Amino acid sequence: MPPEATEALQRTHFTAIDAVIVAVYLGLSLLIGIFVRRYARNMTAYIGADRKIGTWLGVATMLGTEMGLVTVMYSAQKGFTGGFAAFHIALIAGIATLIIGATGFIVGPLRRAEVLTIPEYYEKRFSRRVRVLGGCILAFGGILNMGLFLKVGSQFIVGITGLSAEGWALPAVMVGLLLLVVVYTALGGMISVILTDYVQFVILSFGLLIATGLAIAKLGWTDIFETTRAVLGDAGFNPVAEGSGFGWSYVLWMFVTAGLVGCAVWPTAVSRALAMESEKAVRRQYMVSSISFTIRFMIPYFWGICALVFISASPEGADLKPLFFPPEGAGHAAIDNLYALPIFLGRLLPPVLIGIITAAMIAAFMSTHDSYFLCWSSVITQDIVAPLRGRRGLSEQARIRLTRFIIFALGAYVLYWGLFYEGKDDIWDYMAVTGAIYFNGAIAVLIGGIYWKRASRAGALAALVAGCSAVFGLGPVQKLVGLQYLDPETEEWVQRLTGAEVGLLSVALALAAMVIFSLLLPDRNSAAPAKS
Amino acid sequence: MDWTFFWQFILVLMLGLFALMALAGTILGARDIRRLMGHLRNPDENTDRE
Repeated sequence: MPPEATEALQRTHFTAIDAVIVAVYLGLSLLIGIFVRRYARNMTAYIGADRKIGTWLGVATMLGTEMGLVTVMYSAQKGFTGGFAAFHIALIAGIATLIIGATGFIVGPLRRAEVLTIPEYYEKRFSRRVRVLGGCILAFGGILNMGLFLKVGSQFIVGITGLSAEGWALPAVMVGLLLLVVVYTALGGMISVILTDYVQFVILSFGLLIATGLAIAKLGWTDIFETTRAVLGDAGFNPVAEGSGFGWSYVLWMFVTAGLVGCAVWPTAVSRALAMESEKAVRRQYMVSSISFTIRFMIPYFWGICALVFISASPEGADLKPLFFPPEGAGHAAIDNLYALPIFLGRLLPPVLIGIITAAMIAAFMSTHDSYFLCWSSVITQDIVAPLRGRRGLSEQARIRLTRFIIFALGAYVLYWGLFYEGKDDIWDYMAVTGAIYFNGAIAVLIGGIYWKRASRAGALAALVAGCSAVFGLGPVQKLVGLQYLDPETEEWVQRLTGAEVGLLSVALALAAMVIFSLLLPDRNSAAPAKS
Repeated sequence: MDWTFFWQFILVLMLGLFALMALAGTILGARDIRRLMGHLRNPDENTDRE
């Protein structure tokens, strides 16, 4: 990184008072974990909070979980590069959640089935073999999915606090945050996750609104739109315009990922539905959460757009323009545009408020990590290890011990992946593809299992395997199998199929596999759908 | 279609709704926490409301 970039990164309003605010907040989260440890008596309490979550606590925890710092960072990146055209993803997410809430599609029958995890439903509806395979694929895709969370989150902390982006600061922040989350999640399970999510909801919600108001006051409402049009043109507003970087296949792919999957198939969101006190509460939770499912994308997109306007047109951001958009012959590459948001916030927010917003963002970071750690570890315990032990089974205490051990193991993996993954995918696209490894198959198995009487075990197994084809959307895998080639003239990698196109083909393949194999190899004793 | 006006309208609408939701979630979420903790302290007592 050039010295000008290092100097620009360090010009922030973050002070010692802000550091104290952040430290107090982190200490509070740890205390909650220690305090509620005594309530984690059995697995239902440990991973499902005894299914006693009320509607509004469910709404709070849903926002806490689904709006992670990584969401803020990759969404801001999308806003920075795509402008207001990226808003279509937020709108799709909100509308889909509202429809799921109104109809109870997938989540209603799952809650009625009284399962703790999605693979547990696979066993109830199909067989133990489907559960174990589904659990393995879910854990693999999900763990891969959270690989970049730590690094991206730490980049935000480094950017907003003005710590050095190189050297020891980034790994140190990564290790510190990780240790804290792992400890309180392992201690209190879902109960501490829910309580910390609530605190995070309060700080995060008001932090988001205040920072957005300040950004508008600083840059001017009309100027934000006019500058975006000047920099990005029509493509900065119309998602299907040429040059927008989106297009019809992308919009369609977003209906699947940000829409249906984001709220009704993604395990961390579904685990909230499964912990609710009733199906009625689940539906209410989803109806209200349609606002937060929109906002969790929309506000970070808007912040990314504001960062673009600040850097492109504001006198105070003039020193940043040659760093993010270097002219030809500048002698250095553009700095990572993930730093645009934290640098912008670091200069926008006054002291004390910057401490509160940083605490809110760390809250977002932790609330996602804790839920993901708990979700994947409980799937491995409940849906892979315990079923494989057969009649010998696992005692409740052994399950909790194993889940805690896996949480620590996942923490080690996330640290390793954050330090060493070299893929160059756009963060959101990386997450959509890795998540798709799990959810493409899960869409077919859940919809088939719940709503189609003739769905069979063979169909479910085939759909799960077919869904794994989404892995071909990942940059390094595409290069390996020839789906990307190096253009000799431009010396740039060219995609034969985009990640969105691979994802859509993979969903179609999984659905087709479910139908064809169910018809060819029906179950002898067909189970009734959970809907009934 | 005027995309600028459309996104301005959506942004203002969602910010307003989110502000209301944040307020309601803060107050009513605290009530739900009290009930949850009550249940966790005395799991054998029936604290169901529905």
